[in-house]
Order: sequence, then C-alpha cells, then structure tokens
Amino acid sequence: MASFYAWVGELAQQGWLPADFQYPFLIRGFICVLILAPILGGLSHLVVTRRMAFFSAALGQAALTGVAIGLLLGEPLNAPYGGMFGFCLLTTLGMVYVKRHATLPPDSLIGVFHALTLGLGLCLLVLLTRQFNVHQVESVLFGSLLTVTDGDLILLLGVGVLVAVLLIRQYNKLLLDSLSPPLASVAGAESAFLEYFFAILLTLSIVVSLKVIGALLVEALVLVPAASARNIAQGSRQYFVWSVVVAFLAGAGGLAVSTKLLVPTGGAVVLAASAIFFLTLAIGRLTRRRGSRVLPQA
Amino acid sequence: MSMATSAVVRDVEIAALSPRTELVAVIRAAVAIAFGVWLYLANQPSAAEGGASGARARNLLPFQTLIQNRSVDEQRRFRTLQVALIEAENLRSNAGRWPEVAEMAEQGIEPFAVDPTDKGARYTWQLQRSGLYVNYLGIPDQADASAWLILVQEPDPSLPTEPYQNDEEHARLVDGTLLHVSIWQHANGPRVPLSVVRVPQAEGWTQLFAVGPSAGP
Repeated sequence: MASFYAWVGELAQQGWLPADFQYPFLIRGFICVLILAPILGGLSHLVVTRRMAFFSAALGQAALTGVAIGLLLGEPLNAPYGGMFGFCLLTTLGMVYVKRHATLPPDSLIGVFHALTLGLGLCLLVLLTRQFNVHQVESVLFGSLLTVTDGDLILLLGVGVLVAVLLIRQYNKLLLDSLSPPLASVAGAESAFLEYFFAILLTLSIVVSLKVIGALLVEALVLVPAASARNIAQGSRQYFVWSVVVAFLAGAGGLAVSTKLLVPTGGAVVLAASAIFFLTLAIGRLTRRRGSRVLPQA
Repeated sequence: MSMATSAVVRDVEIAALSPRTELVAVIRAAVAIAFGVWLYLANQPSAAEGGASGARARNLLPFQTLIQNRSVDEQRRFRTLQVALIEAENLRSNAGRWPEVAEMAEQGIEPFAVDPTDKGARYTWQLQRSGLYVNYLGIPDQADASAWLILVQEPDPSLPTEPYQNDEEHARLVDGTLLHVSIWQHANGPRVPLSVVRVPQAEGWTQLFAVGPSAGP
C-alpha cells in the first residue's frame, strides 16, 4: 500500500489531485467513503422502509460497549473488532428476538436495549480509564480518519463485499417483506429469517463504519441518505440510487470539511448529509409544486 | 373481467415459526458467534508476548510510535529534544515567556546549538506562536531527513484547571501552570509547511513516545 500512497501523493504534488491527498490517512479515508457509500446507502432505504432507524442508533451505542469489552479482553486499542462484532451481533440477536415476541411496542423494547448497552458501556469505559488514556478512545465515539489503518480498509472491503453479495441475493424478498410481510410470505420468503438476516447485515455494516463515522453518529448515515432520497426519488430504483449518491456526497463532503477545518470526521459527514437532506427537501417541494401546477392544465 | 375469473387462485398457509424453534436457532447462532469471537481472541498476539513495550505499543494510535523502534540517530535526536523542552520550560518559568531559539543556542542547548560532531542534516529551528500553541520547528537541509517539532499547548485560562498527570504529555511549570507537551517527527522534512502546527497528526506528523500514553487520572 505504501507505493500506492506514494503514487497518489505524487499526483497530489503535481496538482492532479487536491494537495491534501499527499497524506495517506486522507487516501484511506476516501477509499473508506467509496466503499461505505454503496453499503450504507444501499441499506439505508431498507432501514427507513423497515422502520429500523432507532434500532441502528441502539447498535451504534452497543458498538461503544463492544469496544470497551474488546479492550478489557486485551485487544489492541486500534482494533477491538472481536469485542465490537461479538457484542453487537449478540445484541442484535437479542433485540430482534425480544422485539418479535414481546407485546411492548418495538421502539420501547429497543429503548430498553439502548439504555442497557449504553449504561454498560459507560461503566466499562470508566474501568478502562485505569488502563488507557481515555482521549485515545475518543476517536471511536466521534470517528477519526487518523485512526484508520490498512487493516481496517481490508476489513471494510471484505465486509462490504460480503454485505453487498448477500443483500443483492435477498434484495427483492427484503423489499417485499419491508412493504408487506404477508405478501412476502406468500411469495415464499421467510419473514423471521429476513428480519434476522437484515439486522445482521446492518450490524456488520455499522461496526465496520465506526472508525470513520463514530459510535454516536453512525445511525445518521444509515438514515439520512434514504430520507434525502425519498424527498426526490420517483420509484424504488431511483430511491436506491439516490440513497447511494447522497451517502457518497455526504461522505466525500464531510471528509473535505473534516480535513480543512480539523473537526471530527463523523460530525462533518453527518452535517454534510443533513445539509443534503434539507436541500433535497426544498427540491422535492419545488418539484411537487411545479407538478401540481402542470397537472390541472393537463 | 374474464382475466380475473380465469386467474388461478391458490391458498397459501403462512405458518409462523414456533417461538421454541426460533429460540433454539437464536441460541445456536449466539453460541457460534461467541465461539468465533473466542477463536479470534485466542489467536490474537497477547499483550504479554511483546513484553512491556509490546503492551504499550498496543495502546498506541496509528500516528503514534515508541522511539525505541526508531534508529539510533532518531533516538538521540529525541533525547536532545526532551532535554531542550525541559530547558525551555525552565526559561519560560523564570522569564514568563518562551525563549527564542537564538537564546537557547547561546546557552549551548542542543539541538538549537549546533553540535560540531554531528554529521547528519543541519536544522533550521524556529519558534512559532499562535494563541495557546507554541512550536519549536526544525527543518532539515537534506531532502531525506525528517523534520522535528516540539509542540506545547498552554492552558486555556477560561477553562477549569486539569488534574496533573505525571506522564510524557504533561508538564508543570514552577508557578503550577499545566502544559500539554509532545514531540513529533515528519518524514518529508524539507516539505513541511512553516505555519504553526496545531493538530500535527492531521498534517502527517508522527508522535513519538519514550514510554507511551498514560492511563487517565
């Protein structure tokens, strides 16, 4: 990878690329955005359709607890993936199972898990301060490109390909199940399986995004792209495509802002996504107003 | 209309998964996940394997490193910068301002005073200040030599005083002022911009530690 970074750095120095690309961490960040945009954008419209926004928020907090557990189990500060994947996947299974069988509304149940994992995470973080300088863990909370390594990129790419392949295989069934579970069941889809399946895909995607976006903000990137796309899309294909485009624009824009203003990457990415949301909201209203003016004449 | 009447109507029974079957499947999946994580952790190099330095290295972020992993020349340069920083802090305590590079060179404080026996790159040192940030920045005259930086951050008077930590990143002056201090290296020495550095890691600098970042207070 060093020779690739050197080559890109040369291009930046020759003026073919922005000057900031001379730094390997920024090249890694841009590659992260290129991989994350289709994954999170592709999942985000299903998250909105399946009403799993709060579920994603709870998973982000669970990942924080996973980091604490990983570090306590002796994982290195920069790659506590065992703790994160393990705890988040177990929490996901627990949340989906309880949600499917309890009589309480889903948001109340997820709220219980949310509070439980956050409380546990905070207690463990206090324990961690005896071993680590807590400032070193801040990047996990808010996201930082500076902590992304080549190993993280490889993991992100591997999980990205896995999620994309699995999502493509089950996409039609998932979409149908999101819109009408009985109809999906008639078409041969197993609703219970799909619910667990999608939750696990979402968990994997959230965990690998954490270093760039941060635990506190990761749910925004699985929610805002779809919300923005919904403002302007006409039809499910456009909805999907716009979600990916918005996720990419938010990622690249946030990266640029984060590098220029030296603010946390996660915050900058979410601000960029939110700006795009309000822009698409205005565009959507304008388009509908024009459409409603045209319709009576027709 | 005829289309609707001629369409084949089929009955499909949607049987919900029994809670018991689902619970068993969930438990199996949970056990598989726990086993996978255990395997992963068991195959990780343990902190004890690399000794004390191995354990410390595990607590470092990608832009941080231990000086003991660097060349002898770099270790020597790091040590002189550590001493220079202490001298600068003493002068700051006495005079109430950060000493100029020329002042320290006159007093024979390396690396600001040139060591005639040093056959490596020659450095141009400069003191830069902006707000609470103080930089002693050394730029080499050779293309392949590293740039060096002592970064000092003075406390913000509008914020409550931080608790003192006896580690490499904190220093206390005689008057009790608590400073954030750190030593950095940049591989592209001559290309380093001459502006004040506030967040060195975002400009390609590597933070060097003798021991490593400490635990919290």
